[in-house]
Amino acid sequence: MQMPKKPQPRQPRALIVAITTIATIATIAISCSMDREDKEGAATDQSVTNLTDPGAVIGEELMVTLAQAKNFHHKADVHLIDAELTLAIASLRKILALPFPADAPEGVDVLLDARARVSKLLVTAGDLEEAMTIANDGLASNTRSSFFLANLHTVRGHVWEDVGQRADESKDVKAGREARVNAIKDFDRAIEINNAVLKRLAESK
Amino acid sequence: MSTDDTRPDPDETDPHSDPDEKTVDPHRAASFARLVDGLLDGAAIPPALDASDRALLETATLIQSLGQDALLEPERSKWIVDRALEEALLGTSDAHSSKLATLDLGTLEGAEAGGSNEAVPEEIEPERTDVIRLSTRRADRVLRTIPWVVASVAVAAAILLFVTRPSADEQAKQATETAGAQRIASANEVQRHPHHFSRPTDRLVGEISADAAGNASARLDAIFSNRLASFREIRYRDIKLAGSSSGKQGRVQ
Repeated sequence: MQMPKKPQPRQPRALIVAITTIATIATIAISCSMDREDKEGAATDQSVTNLTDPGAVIGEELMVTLAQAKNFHHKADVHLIDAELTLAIASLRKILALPFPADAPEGVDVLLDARARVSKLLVTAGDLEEAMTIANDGLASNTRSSFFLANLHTVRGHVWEDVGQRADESKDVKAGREARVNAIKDFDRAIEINNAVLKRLAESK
Repeated sequence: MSTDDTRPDPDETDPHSDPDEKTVDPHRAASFARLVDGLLDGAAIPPALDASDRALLETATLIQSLGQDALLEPERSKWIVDRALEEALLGTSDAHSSKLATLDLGTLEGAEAGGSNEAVPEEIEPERTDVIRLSTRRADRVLRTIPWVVASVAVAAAILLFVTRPSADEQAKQATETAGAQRIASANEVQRHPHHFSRPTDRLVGEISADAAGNASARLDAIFSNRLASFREIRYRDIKLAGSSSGKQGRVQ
């Protein structure tokens, strides 16, 4: 009688199970990573906040300083009604000392705008040097392009324009020409900044 | 069965069907019967025995055992059955089953009569071999596959972690988002809406003309009004959440 055949060893079955498990989990992992990339791309295109320079949530600190600046502006308006230029300038200078939050773009915009108004009032008051200093300090400490930065360039351009006019009155032709050149530079720079900001706002819509 | 040609035909020596019964010596028959009974009771074969009588004795003993059921001890019978099953199911052809196949029944009978294990070959004694049941072998197979399963799971986990690992840029982004999320979380679960965040006012104010260069007061009024509305919305939601959860009081400006 022929002996029955010896059955095949069971080792290959475990190997098949192992290979199948590894392949399955690897497939799932790769598909998950592909889904995650798609979601990240979608998230980039459909950003919830879509902010250019997002800062912190609007808080009490920012609101308090904005309210203070608003009050100082209105106080200066009242002083200007009575033609009290010096008091108006003094009131506006206090805005420049307000502690706006460091990560609040509103604070930067308000300060630039306040400098522009102070500089214009100083020009009205005849203090061109102080007006130029106020404008220079504001332009030197800000790098973010904004309408307020462009406005301050415009204001400084007007200051240069007055400097040139005063130089012409004092028969300093060279100084006059140089001042007008600087004024044109500031006006060009203001136009350039405005165009850049308009383009950025149009793209972020 | 003996192959001795000189052994008389069992049919001829059967006392129940012996045609020459009348020629047998009754004394000799009685003594022969006593010998057979003694052998069946476990006594040894007398050494001084006629060859013909010895052959007759062995034949009688064989016939007697064939007429009875095989009375093996339970352990031995179980061992024999297990070995047979093992050979049939697993196809083992080791020395044990070959010995089993060629094991002489007379040897087993002698072992049974002697009541000892001496007739069973030492190599196939049940006490010295592993009588492996099918269930035990199944458990062994499971134990053999466990290391493979553990290794495969570990490799799969390593692949999964490698594929889903965050890149360096992603880690930096996550750190930034975490810092931002902490600031947002400090606002007591404020919904993430754009107008709740501090941001540039260019879009609100618009391009400033040269004629309006000094109108900072009006622009600030617009900025303040806009941000105040957002601030009130956030603060009102804080009070609503605090009131619905723990009853914590807040102020509204």
